[in-house]
Amino acid sequence: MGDRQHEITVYAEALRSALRALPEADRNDIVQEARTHLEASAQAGRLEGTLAAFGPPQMYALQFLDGAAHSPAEERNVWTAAGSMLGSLVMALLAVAFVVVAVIDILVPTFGIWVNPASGAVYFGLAGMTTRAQELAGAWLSLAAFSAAGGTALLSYLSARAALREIRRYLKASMGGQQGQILR
Amino acid sequence: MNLESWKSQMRKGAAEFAVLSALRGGELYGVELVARLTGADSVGLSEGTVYPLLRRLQSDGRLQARWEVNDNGPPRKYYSLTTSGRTALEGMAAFWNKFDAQLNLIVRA
Repeated sequence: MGDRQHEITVYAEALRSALRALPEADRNDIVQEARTHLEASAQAGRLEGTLAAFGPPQMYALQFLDGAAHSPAEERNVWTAAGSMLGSLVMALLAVAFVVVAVIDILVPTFGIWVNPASGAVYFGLAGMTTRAQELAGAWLSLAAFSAAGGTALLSYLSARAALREIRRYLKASMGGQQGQILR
Repeated sequence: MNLESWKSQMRKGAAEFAVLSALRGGELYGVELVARLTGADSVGLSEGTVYPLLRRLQSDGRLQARWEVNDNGPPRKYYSLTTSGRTALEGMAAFWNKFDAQLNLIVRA
């Protein structure tokens, strides 16, 4: 009997881990019900047959995951949300970088885009790296940087808003899947 | 034509109809329900498929469930039909009677 108990526990724990995508209440519910069934089978002396019918825990878990609230469409929402969040973050960082460039260009006159007329090489940074440099853009650099900062900040805001909308939709769908749940 | 895919189409609705029918007389817990459905593997019902289906029917609102502590063993999850489940079952049963009679008239002619 001890061996059978051990076998049931091993199966139940593997099932629990395969169901980790589900909320904990749902997981407890499924695993407890499987345990109850396996123990009844063990008592009737047909545990092996039941384990074979259930199949490997990962495969058995798939049947619950397929029918759960997390349909493929909703999974896609999560990825869309994650992508939008990442995009928003990158845009925000770019906006900050552009503001920094604009401010430095105003405060430090030697900062800018310089061209060495002899070699045609372009430098971004402080003048002095080359003595014969000519400045490109000049004061326009800060103006352009401020405009770019505004543009990227707007994109960041729009991406964040899209991400939040997807997350809200996903949460709503997940809650709907748990209705009528009764657990001890 | 792919016979397996045809069978699977036939089973889809039938398994749900069978589970709701088995609960017509009152609540049952999983082990009892599986015993009641033994031999229904052609309908797509076996030990390995009943619980996922029960869960889907519960989240669709056709079934409700309650846990009961059992002194002699592990806790049992009892299932019963909701009002919507009973309505669905009546509709399915009426359709099935007609479907069965008319199809048999042709198939067994």
